[in-house]
Amino acid sequence: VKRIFGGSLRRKLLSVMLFTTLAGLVVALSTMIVFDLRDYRQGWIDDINAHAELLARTTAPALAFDDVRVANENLAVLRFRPKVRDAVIYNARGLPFATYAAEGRSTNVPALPGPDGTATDGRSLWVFKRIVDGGQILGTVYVRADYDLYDRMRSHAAVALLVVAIAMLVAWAVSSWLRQIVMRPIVAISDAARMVVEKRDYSRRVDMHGDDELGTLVGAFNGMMDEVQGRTHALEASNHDKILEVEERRRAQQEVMRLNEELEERVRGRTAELALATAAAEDANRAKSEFLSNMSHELRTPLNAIIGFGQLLAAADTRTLEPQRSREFVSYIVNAGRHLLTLINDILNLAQIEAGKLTLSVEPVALSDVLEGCRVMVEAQADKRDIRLLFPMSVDAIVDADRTRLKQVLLNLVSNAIKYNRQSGTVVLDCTRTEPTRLRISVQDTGHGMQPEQLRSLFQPFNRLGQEHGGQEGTGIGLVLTKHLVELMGGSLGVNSTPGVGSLFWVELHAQPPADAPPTETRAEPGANSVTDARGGAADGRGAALVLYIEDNPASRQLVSSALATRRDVRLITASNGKEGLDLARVALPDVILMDNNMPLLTGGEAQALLKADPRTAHIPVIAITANAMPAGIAKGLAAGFFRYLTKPVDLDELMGALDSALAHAGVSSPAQPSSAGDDSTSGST
Amino acid sequence: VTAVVAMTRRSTHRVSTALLRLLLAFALLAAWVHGRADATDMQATEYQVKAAYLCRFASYVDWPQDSGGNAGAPLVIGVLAADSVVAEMASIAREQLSAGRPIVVRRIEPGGSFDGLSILFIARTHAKRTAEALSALKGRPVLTVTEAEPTADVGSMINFVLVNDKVKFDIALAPAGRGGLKISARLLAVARVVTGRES
Repeated sequence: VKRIFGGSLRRKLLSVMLFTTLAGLVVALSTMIVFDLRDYRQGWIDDINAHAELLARTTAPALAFDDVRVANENLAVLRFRPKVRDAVIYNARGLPFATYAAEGRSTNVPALPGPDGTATDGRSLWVFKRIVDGGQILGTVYVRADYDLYDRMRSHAAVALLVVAIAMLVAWAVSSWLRQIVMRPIVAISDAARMVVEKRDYSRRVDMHGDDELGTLVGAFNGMMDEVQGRTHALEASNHDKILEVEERRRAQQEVMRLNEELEERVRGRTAELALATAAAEDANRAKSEFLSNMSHELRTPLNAIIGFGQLLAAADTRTLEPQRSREFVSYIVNAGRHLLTLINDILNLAQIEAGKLTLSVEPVALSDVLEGCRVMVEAQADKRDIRLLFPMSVDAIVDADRTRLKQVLLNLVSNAIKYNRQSGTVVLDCTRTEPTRLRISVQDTGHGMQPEQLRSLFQPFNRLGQEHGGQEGTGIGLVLTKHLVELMGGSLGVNSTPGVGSLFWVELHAQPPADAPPTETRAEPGANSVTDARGGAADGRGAALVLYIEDNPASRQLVSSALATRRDVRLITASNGKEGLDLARVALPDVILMDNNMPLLTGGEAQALLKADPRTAHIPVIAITANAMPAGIAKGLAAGFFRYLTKPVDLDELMGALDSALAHAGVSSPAQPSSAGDDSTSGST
Repeated sequence: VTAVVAMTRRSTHRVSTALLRLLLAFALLAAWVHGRADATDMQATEYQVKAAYLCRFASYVDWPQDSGGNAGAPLVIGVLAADSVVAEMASIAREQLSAGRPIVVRRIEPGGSFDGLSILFIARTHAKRTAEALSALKGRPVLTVTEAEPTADVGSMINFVLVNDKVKFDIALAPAGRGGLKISARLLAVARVVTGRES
């Protein structure tokens, strides 16, 4: 049953319909058949009984008057009833009187009559009937007929089956039609529901049919779908909005992050810029401090000579002082004063240039005059370092320039070439025309050359390219000033340098077109080879204490030599740089060492540290004589182990005092002497 | 009997000899009774049959209402025959009833009255009185029965004839109609010859 009524609603409906029809049919047909069979049976029995009765009456006279022929005739009437198979008339004594048998039927009649009544054996029905006439029993009639109840049942069953089949067909057809009516909306709803479930298609609707319960269901379904669709739309819209919102937030967040990153980048940039600016400012500050320090040093150095030699002149006995020496002293003073003047002028010029207040008078200038003036001015300097100067023999070029400033420019370049050359080097000055109206003046040295990075900072003010602690005098503004001046004269200045080989500075200026082309000869200028004599002056006293003075500045060396020449108990030896001084100290083992700080190759501090580290020289007191007058420098020097720290310009009395205490410290007996300059003690070198 | 004996023999094993003898006795008795019945039937005389027929005629004949006494009164059959015949007939008639009425056989004396009769039988032996009787009864509601030769039309209503030793009868409707009697068609159906039928 479960299987039959399972499946779809359609099938269930069909099953219900068919089963209902079948049940009704079975009950109705069964009832009909049963009643029909009962009626048939009763009717047939009645019929046969009637026949028997009729036969009894019709054959009664035949029996009564023993007329077999009539009896047979009476029985023969039965042939019109084919269903009657046999008939027998028995006489009163129970013997067969007349018989009848349907054609083709076997006659099998009972020999004796039975009691009145009806009986059946399934296939046939028979009746015994007494023949009574006039109150007398004349005999018995026996009629046997077909009793086709089973045939009838069979035919009924066949008909019933046919009816059932037709009825089921009709019921199926009707139910199909009814199903169309009933099921279509349900199927439509079912399909729509399945579509909704499978495809999430909430837009489906079911067509309305009628206003029965199914119509109500369809309406309810459609209403539900409207609601669902509406809510889905609302939800989707809300989701969409939310997605948009999230997207917007994400974008905003990204924007914020990007802005943050930009900000950080800018902050980093600014920080870097600030760091650079700070570094630059610090650099500038340091450069300025160093410039001031240098300036102080540079200004003090000539003042040192001026004051020192002035003191010497003042203290000297004019009678004992040789006129030549006096002149020499005075010339030192004058030179130093000039140098000082130059320095001050340089500084002033630079200040003027930087303030844009320097004015030049550009005019045609004969270059040869200027070169000659320069050569004269630097010869002495070149001689000091045993440097050969090679100048053009004859230069007839005429350039447009400010005479004074051109000379200053060339002096600066040549002076630098000498200053930063190596010992016994060469400086070559050359003039070539790059163009008919363009003259290039180049100054080549054989110095150490410069690294590219040094070249880049070459023209920065106050930058001495690591020469701040070198032995060469300089303000760090000379080249800057030169460049400015050249440019003010409408020219240009450039430099080529090869480390280890040398540098070539050149100046290009506007020149008058050449009248002719005289050969440019290079005249070898034999430099005055005046090697600095490291040897101290003649030491007349053998027991005199040995004092080593390490100083790169000749003027300072001369000053100290002159000062100590008055003292008999002191013998002075000098070295012109730290390295040399160190070697000399190790060999000569002086009692006291006087040491400048700013020296090439080896600074005073470094030299002092090396001396301290060497057991042979560790005990020797070292007195610093330096232009570094900054309190920090003094403290640093004392901390480093300098015995005394004297600043330039050196006060001679102070120098003597320091020397005495150092000698006393060194254990050298030295009679205290007035710190007055001795007369004949000279340690000579320029 | 042979079957019974055989059967009895088959039963001998279990049944006592007494029972066997009893059964044998019953069988012999039954055979005797049957044989006697056959003898009686075969010895049924012609007049016995005719007496029975006469009694049975009454069932097929309608007498007029005003004749023959009222219901419940005996049906009277007059007989013109020998005494033995009358007696034989009377004995038969005593056993018969006609529509619930007893039947009485009355011997008609010579010169006797025919009053009260429903049926008059004239035997062959009294044929010479036939004409007299018939004429006397002419127009009266009395069924007249004779046993004359079939060819001799004596004028009776029913005439017995013997055909192959079986009793048959002819019916003449004309005299019956004159007497006011109605003879049933059923009776006509078993008559040998029916004369005077209309059309």
